[in-house]
Amino acid sequence: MLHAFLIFWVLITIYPILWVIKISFSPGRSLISTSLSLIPAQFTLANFQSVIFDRPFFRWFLNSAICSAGTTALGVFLACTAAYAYSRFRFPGRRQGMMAFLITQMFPGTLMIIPQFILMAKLGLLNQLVGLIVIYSTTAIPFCVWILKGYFDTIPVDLEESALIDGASRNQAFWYVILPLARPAIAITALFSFMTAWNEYILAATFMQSELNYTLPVGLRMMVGEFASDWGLFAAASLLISIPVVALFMSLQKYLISGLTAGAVKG
Amino acid sequence: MGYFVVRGSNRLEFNRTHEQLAKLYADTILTFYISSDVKTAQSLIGKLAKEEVSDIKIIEGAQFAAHSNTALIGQRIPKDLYDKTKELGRTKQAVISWSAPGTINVEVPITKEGKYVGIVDLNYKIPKFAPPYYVFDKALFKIESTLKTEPGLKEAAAFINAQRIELSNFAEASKAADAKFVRNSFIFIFLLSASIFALIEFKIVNLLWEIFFKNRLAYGYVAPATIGMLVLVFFPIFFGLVLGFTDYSLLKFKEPVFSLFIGFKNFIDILSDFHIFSYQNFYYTLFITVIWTASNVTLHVGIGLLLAMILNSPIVAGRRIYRTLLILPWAVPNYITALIWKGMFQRQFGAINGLLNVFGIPPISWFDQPFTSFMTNLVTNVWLGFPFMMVIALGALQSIPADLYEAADVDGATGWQKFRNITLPLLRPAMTPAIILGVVWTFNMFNIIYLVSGGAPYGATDILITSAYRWAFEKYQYGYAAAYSTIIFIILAGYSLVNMRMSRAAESTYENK
Repeated sequence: MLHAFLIFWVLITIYPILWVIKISFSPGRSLISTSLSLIPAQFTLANFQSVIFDRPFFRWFLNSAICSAGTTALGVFLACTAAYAYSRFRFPGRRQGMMAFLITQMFPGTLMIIPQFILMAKLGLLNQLVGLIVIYSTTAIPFCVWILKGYFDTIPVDLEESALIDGASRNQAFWYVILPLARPAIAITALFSFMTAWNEYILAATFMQSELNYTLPVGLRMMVGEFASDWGLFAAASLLISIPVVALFMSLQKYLISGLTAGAVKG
Repeated sequence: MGYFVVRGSNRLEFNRTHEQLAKLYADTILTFYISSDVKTAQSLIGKLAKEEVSDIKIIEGAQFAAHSNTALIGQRIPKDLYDKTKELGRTKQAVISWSAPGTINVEVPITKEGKYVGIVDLNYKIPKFAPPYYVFDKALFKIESTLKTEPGLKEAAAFINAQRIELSNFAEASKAADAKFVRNSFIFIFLLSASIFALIEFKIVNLLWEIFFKNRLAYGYVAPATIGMLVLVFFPIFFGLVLGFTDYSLLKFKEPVFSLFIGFKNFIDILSDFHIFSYQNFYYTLFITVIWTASNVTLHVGIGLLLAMILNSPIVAGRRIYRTLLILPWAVPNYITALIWKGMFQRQFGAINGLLNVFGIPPISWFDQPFTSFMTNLVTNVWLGFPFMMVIALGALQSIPADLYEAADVDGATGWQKFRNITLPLLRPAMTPAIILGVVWTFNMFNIIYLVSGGAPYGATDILITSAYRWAFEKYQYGYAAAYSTIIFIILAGYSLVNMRMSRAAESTYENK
């Protein structure tokens, strides 16, 4: 009976995805069928061809890839160092710092766009991928620090102490002892940074002003704008955009369960 | 012989009516196209050549239609100039407008011996973040020089020249305002330095330096992240807060922010509007937001916990496959999810109505009623959000030692008693921070509401954040929108404070022993 419930829920979970796959392989305005079937009535690759070749899709893909890779690298670096400090050191401003990180999650992000836009313009980073990378990294920090700090907290202090006694510096203890042990949490941090950058639409749409500099979500939105009812194109584009991030997510998902809760549970 | 012009734009779209009219009436069509994007310009001209339109014809007494975006876009121009040109527009003189982000559109009627013979329609793409007066000046100069080379358009060129002179007067005024702002900034910096000097005299700086030096390693580690956050998050938040006290809007884009200070007026306007049965009302939207948040988090946690417990129980085979499949909604980018579900709730062809059809239920127009529209958002967000809670619950469940349950079994506890007394308390440290975070995220869940129902009908399903967004980017009232979002922030901050007092969960999140 438990199996029945699970299977039912899995069906609900994956049906929309399978539906999109079906639509992407169906010609034209395939919303024009009330059939619930997941097999396309007519199989065609035209949607994919149109998405890839009629637009600078490869360029957008490259932009998203560079942006996400940069965000991952920078975000992980920033979060690891900060989380280590919050976990291991006691210093004035520690509690306020953590509280401040928590508070930034609460401010409606979409309304920081205008000040951030002006700031990026003054820094000359508008329409540059570097600008996006910098903003995405800082946006991902609070959540990543939360996870990493929790994980660091579960690593016994004795490990570092023995390293320090053996003559290592704090930095070396951090790099060679702690970081390798925190691999699951770092994997999650990297994953979330990547996903933040790959999936983000609003900031990219505001900051990137020439079509060749768009990232994938902005490109997709442009397509939905032009062809408001051409669901085939949209479905094909959605699949192409989602596959890298879903694949990455799935390959790293085994870390999710251990890493997300390691620090949160007292024990 | 006269001129008729086909309008061109950056995206190679021709205005169909003009083109048809041109083909009917024009012997020759002349196109002016100015763009910073050479390739687009060339291909546009190439397209024209292919169509073999090369003759011009007189169109007597033709009215030119005001540019469709003028009413809205005109607000980008200094207000006085805009009023003037709009007024002039009715009597067939140039209208300058901003036709798309980053582009200026100019329509100049051409007169020959006082008679109107046609229009020149030009687009100019503006460089990065240039002040409006500078851009208009450049655009007008380019237009003027192009017009001058065409015989018969000298009158138009002279008119443009007059516009440039008028504009430069406004430019002077803008520059004066800029200079004033710079001067005020210098005064501020001077005062700041003076106070630091005073601090040194009172030895506080020495104390601060000592603390800093003692903890330099910690600060070193924390510095990169903190500096990043300060510049790119805290400063914009602060700026946003200040904006809430001003009257800043698209109309007043060029004026220095501090000159528009209006005190608490925005806040009073938002909070004192008691027509709560209007969909745009703050309190109505707050009500919807609270219901939205509560229902979502309840369902997320309920479903997530249920699934986690099933997956954690020893009788389930193929657990890994189930778990992998159930995490899928989390992996899909959420704006794509939103658009997919929007398609599924489509009245005629969506899968949901198709499913209802199988059970003989007539199709529902999901986005026409507030309740059903709300349901579309709810279903989408629950689909999207349960994996997160499921994973957290699963991890927490797995760390509960099995002997506790065994001991309870020995004591003869029922399933429900075991759940209440062992499972729930031990889940709390993990679930509580997740729930707090979930509440905040759901409260501010912009993408789903905006993309699935779009606030339909008429803003009935808008939550606070989409409402604030519309004020900023659809009605261009930046000051009002900033005040709105400050209120959202205060609500959430208040909620977190209350939560932290009650459960000390944040302590347990960040503390270990």
